[in-house]
Amino acid sequence: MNMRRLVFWGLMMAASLALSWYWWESQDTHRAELDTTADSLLSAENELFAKVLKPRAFIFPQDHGPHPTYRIEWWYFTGNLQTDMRRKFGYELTFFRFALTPEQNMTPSKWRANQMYMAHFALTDVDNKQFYTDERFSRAGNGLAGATTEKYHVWLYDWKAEAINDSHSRIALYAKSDAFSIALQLDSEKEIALQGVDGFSRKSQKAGNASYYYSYTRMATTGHIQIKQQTFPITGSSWMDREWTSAALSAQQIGWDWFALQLSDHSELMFYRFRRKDGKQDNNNAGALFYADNAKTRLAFSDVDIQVLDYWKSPHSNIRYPSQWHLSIPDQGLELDISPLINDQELNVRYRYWEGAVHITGKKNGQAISGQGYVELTGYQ
Amino acid sequence: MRRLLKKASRHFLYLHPWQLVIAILGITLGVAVVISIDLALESALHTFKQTTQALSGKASYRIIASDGGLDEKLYTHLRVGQGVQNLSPVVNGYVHSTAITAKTFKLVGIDPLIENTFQSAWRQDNKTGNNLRLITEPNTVLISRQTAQSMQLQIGDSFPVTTDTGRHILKIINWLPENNARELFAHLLITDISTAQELFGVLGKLSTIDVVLAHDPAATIQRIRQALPANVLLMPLNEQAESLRQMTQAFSLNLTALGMLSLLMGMFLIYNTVSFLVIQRRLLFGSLRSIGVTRQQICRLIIEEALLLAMIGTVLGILLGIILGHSLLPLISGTINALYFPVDHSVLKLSPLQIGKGCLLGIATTLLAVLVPAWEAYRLPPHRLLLRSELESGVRRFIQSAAWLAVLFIFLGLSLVLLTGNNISMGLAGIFLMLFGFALLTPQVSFVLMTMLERLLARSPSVLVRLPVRMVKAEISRTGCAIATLMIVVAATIGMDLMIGSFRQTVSEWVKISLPADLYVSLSGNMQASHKSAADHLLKQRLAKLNEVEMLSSVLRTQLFRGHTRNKVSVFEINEKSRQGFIFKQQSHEIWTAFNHQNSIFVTEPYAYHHGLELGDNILLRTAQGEQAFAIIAIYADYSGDQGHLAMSRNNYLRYWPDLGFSGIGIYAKEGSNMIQLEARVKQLLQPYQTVKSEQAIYQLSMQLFEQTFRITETLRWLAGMIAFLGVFSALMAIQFERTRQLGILRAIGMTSGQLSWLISIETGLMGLIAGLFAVPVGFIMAYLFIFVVYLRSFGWTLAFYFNAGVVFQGFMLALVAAVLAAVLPALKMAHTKPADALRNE
Repeated sequence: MNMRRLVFWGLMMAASLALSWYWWESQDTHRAELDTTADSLLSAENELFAKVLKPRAFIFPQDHGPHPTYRIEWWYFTGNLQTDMRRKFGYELTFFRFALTPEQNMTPSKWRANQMYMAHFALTDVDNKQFYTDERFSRAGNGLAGATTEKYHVWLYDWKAEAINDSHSRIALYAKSDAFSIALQLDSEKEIALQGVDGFSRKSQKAGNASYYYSYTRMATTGHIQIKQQTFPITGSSWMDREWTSAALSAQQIGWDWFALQLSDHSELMFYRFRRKDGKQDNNNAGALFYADNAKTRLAFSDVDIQVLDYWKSPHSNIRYPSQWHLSIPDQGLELDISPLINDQELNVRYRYWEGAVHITGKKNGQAISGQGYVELTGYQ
Repeated sequence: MRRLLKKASRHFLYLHPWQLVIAILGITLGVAVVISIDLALESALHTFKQTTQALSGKASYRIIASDGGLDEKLYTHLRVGQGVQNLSPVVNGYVHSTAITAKTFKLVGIDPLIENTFQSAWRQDNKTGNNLRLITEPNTVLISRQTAQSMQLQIGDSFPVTTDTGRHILKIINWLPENNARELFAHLLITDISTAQELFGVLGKLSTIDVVLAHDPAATIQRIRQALPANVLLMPLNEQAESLRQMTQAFSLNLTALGMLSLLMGMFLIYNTVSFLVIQRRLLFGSLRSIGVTRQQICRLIIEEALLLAMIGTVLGILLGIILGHSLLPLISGTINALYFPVDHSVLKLSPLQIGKGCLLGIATTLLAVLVPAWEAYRLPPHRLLLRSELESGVRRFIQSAAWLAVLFIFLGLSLVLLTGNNISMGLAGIFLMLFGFALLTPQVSFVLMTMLERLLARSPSVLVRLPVRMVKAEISRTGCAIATLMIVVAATIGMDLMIGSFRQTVSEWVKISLPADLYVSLSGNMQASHKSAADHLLKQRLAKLNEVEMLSSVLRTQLFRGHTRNKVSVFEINEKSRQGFIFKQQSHEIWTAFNHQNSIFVTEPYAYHHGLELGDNILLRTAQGEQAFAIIAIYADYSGDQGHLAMSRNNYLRYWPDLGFSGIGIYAKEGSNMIQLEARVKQLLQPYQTVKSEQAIYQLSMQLFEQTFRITETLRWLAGMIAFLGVFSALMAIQFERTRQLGILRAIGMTSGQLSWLISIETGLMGLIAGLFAVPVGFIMAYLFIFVVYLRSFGWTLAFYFNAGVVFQGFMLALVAAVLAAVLPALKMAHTKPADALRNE
């Protein structure tokens, strides 16, 4: 994932700031006395956070760890799973880190922190058409949440993603909610994929409007999922995204659609497109195609055409989401039909969005091709 | 006919407004006192519960630790290691602000990011975004807008506070929500865990962890319990509230008893008034009966009048009760604070149940009081109603039956007191029965005393000497009741004065003995403060090095778990002199060796009483190595609280529990040292939050605290006394006004107005004398019962009975003066009434 998620979370933070601001204002008429640090806490622009200005060399495992001087960062896992009996499931487990202030106040309590973590956990039970979600929040203090630079390890309370045997590419996931849980081992089948230019993913021409971004695009997955009293041994394939930035959205952008697709020829496609207020195509739409041999082709906005074929209206929020797409990349001879495994994969957590498992049929250079993946839809009203 | 009756009734009442006012006042005051006590007590407890709810929200369990606090790592272990959800870590304490006015705030440190399932009132309509600043910025707080404005503070302003760790500047970043818990927020500051830890110097520690059991409660409880170390408990919150209620039960019962005494006084008052109203209308009723009004109608008329009075009195009583409750609330909260647990700034809360209770009490009491007069009017045939002498002869028979009844009541009361073991309510009921018995006995006693006096004075030539005696005796139906009322109130006064005096004396001696050292250093009360132990030891070493210091002793006041309850424990480091500081009620041999070297323990008398413990019993306390048995080797006197506590040697304590430093250090100076100089030198070694006080200063403070806890008792007693005085006053006035004609005759046959005043004064003086005389033994009995039944049962304290002649004399004088005072108005009025007018009266 790229700018779109970055933009999404930036947008969400801006929205929450706006909400707080509104509340604050409605609560207090003494505007002049408002402390300026109130807006500095979550405001869209703050010069004091570190900026993403140019490509950098990634060093692992340090870069799997947190980059606390940047405002936003995430560890993003999605995957399609199935049992021996071909019963299908999808999951999402994401850890977000937010820097509440550019610098931490150094005081003696272990609870003092300027880093906040948020995690989302979703499970799709395709056969039963059920979608389960949960979320967690915590500061980084007192060992309640955090990430380490020594090895891949990020956690929020008991939810975690942690390297197995200090390996760079083998990661164990664990998350448990009241009604559902996962315990998975992810083993990357490919090398780390650097998105954008060597992991520098530009959002616009404005300096700093970019992120550092890399992925594991195909991770063989085994383990168990549990729904209520039932446990299912499963196998499948996961996708991991790592990204950090301090930038926020442009005023024109209201949301985006993001595609992370694993195709049957062992290639993967990542593409995102912004949706603009004025309805025009956004030049910042971009993506990449990763081949079976780790080779990569970058995709610009003009390389990809996406048609929405159907819509679904959420009974929870009454929001209308696209629910079927035709994606074509003429240069690659790729024609794909993408549809959700079930329509209702809307996360009604504190910040609402749709993120769901999809399956793919289509043709590549005239040959039949299939696949699976995840699509994220944000900013729909 | 009914209209006629009503008209007659209205007209009569209209002509006797003062009687009405006094009757209504009797009900009003009686109901007001009961209501106000109930209101203040319930409000104090309710506030405690509400505050807990406002802060803990839907939490149903709480993780608590013995002193030393909860390790913050435990929270992380539960969250991260065990995956337990819906936990809310809390660090709380008190801070003092001197901005504008001195104020004490409860400062509660929380985690703004805990789950919404808690629904705590302080979080309502607060967006998380705002509260995140609490986490990032040190010393930021939320405060209620009203409180801030009263301190002339706005959002963004700062104000100074002091805590154990010194002075800090707090910054207001937002208001607390303005919801229905607003009143409770008046003295509350909300901040983040980090700021609270830093302000109180309790780094690494939490005060409590609140728990909401949302999903699979049994499994969650199990999971939490398994993860807890030995000094930590998971406890249901309602159990905690319940145990607090039980703790204050004895206290409430005693207050309620005082309220009931007031009501009893009010009842006498109503009885007096209504009987007066009935007696005054004997002629009217007789005439009415003669023209065909039925006895039922008369009876109903009386009851209806009484009900009307009751309703007016009750309504006024409830209103007055609310006002009175406002003044009682700080007194009651203060006492609960001093004796039991901190109740933060109570808010008066009136429930419909309490109003219902007040109505029921007022009306039931009135109906009970008019039963006798109504029966009187019902019973007699018309022609006899017309005769006054008939009434008196009836009354004399009644007095005899009353005397028998009185003996029965006293006997019943005594049996109740003796046979009900530890039950406080039954003890109090027994005392009330006995009091009522003594009241019933009063007319008989008066009659006997007057007969004796009559014989004594038979030879006196002056009619002015003999007449008053005859008058008391002749109108015993009226005078008897007034004397009884006066007797009861004076007896109650004597009883309570003797009881409080004995208590004061016992406590005073106990305080003196338990302060064997010359100077006492009080250290920080915050057991969780990091480095406290090391700092305390350093201080102790420095104190020991002072030239004038001969030796030191120390105490650590902490809490340990016995089963599932936290028990107060005093951990002593004792020297030869401080051994004299215990008053042992029971002890085994060689206790000091055992105390220091074996698993042994002392218990205070209230603790032993409440837990039914005896010498040689074992107490199981939780330690990190499981439960350990400690043998009780002594039971000692302690009046510092009614729940009691345990005492063990520091040696014993350190074997099982962590060193938490000291709560106090006793300094024993060398012979001939200059105390003032030593005190000054000690002071130089102390931190600003530590104090040194001389043994005399502590003694004075303790006695002040004692007086403070009794202030409420005193207040209520004076209220009861006031009602009783009103009762006596109204009764005596009624008697005098009733016999206006009789006195007119006396005037007409040549008595001067001065002689008449003398006559009236002597008569009431005699009544006061009887009341005073009879009140002395009754007061003694009451004091005895209070000390050896009520206080022992309520608090487990044995007090020494101290006789105080002054108290008895005062009580006696009170009766006399009250009676004579009550005669002033009628005497004056009679003196100014022309005989002819007086004769025309009937």
